[in-house]
Amino acid sequence: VSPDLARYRRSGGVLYRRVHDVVLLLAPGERQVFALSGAGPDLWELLAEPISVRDAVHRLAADYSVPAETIAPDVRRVFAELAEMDVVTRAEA
Amino acid sequence: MTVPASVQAPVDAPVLRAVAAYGLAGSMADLPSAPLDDETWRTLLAGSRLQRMTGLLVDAIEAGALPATPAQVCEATDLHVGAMSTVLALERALVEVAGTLERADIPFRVLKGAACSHLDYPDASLRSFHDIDLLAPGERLDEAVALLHGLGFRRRYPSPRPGFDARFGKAVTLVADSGVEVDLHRTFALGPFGQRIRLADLWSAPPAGFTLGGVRLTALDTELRLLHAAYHSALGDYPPRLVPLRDIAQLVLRPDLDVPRVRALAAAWQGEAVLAHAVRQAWATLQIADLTALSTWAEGYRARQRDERDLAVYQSSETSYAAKSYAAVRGIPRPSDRLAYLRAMLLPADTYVAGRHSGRLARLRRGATVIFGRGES
Repeated sequence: VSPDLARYRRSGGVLYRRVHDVVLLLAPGERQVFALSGAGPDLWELLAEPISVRDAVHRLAADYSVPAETIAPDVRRVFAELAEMDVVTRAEA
Repeated sequence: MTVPASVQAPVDAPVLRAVAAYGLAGSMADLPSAPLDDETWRTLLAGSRLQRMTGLLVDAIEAGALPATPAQVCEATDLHVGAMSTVLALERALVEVAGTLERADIPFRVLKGAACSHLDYPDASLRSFHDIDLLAPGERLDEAVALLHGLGFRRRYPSPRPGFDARFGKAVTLVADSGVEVDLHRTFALGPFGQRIRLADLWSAPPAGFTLGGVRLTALDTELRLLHAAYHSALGDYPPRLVPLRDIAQLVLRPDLDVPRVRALAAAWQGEAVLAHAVRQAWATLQIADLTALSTWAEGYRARQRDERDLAVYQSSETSYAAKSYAAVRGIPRPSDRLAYLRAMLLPADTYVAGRHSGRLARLRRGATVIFGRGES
């Protein structure tokens, strides 16, 4: 299965606040607040429900009117970073 | 407690009050139609931080209701990011403390900002707070304090006498090395109005709930949250902070508020004067034109002489913690309890005196001045 098809959702233990055009995140067990900016807050909204990297790429590409292949590497990288910080977790199929 | 001038001054600023009212249905408070000059902007920024309403400030700017220069937008956003980062750290501590209390089977309710932000505002980021307030039963308070010690919290002040907190205290303040402060409340207020609250009422109603970081937390129900906001606003800092007044407006304007129950509880606690005063003050300060059943009642309510006298204890920036504490004697119904309370205040343990006063003699003099100087007992 392609990694792009794996579905993710917000971790239960993450604390967050939206501030203007930024989302502040505090991961479980962390004391350092992490900020998502740019298209990050929109991605965070999408992660309210389980979503795959592929679907997130297509949704954001449509919202921002940009080619999916242009933003796909950035979206993959952000997913990887969020998963690394336990801010998102793999959703059950 | 004397309020520093830096806290008092901004409350009088019309722009700050308009920001405090921003988004409220029925408020006639006007925001300026052009970006503020530098001096007024600085005052607004400082006031928003002190009054914990950077969220309302950023919301008003973001919606275009408060015109701002690009630099002002950046400053307001930076300030709010700082406030929200603090809030997230507090919420992390709250989840940890809540888990510890739950494992010990100690009931608790989340109070004030941590609860109101999630339950009473359309977006939790609109309401900042700078500490965690929890309600615990008086008979479990010492146990809860000991558990928080185990998490690294230390009391800000020692207890006046063993057993005082559980029997008469308003709250125990604990601070961690990280700076996180937890106020463990037994009741809502110092002084006579605090002593008249029927504590059983705080625990008998089914609690409200909200989820934080995947953990379900309990809070007071809507009517009790309103009464707490009213007591906090009318009997806490003087002049009152804007955020508790905004909390009152948020709660009074809730369509599901059970007004007869609010009034019945206030009457049972002999606190109708407190409720009416706080609602009137919220409506006046935030310039709310809309009338509700409760605001109409508050406007027409006339306090009894005794209640006016008791309210006066709180209506001065010069009123000290000691004055409120001694005034509380009037609210304690049983003579034996009054005696025990007075004894604790007049002859506190040495550790308590060392934390707050220069010595026991100084405390006795302060007490005597307050009790006898006003010609009341």
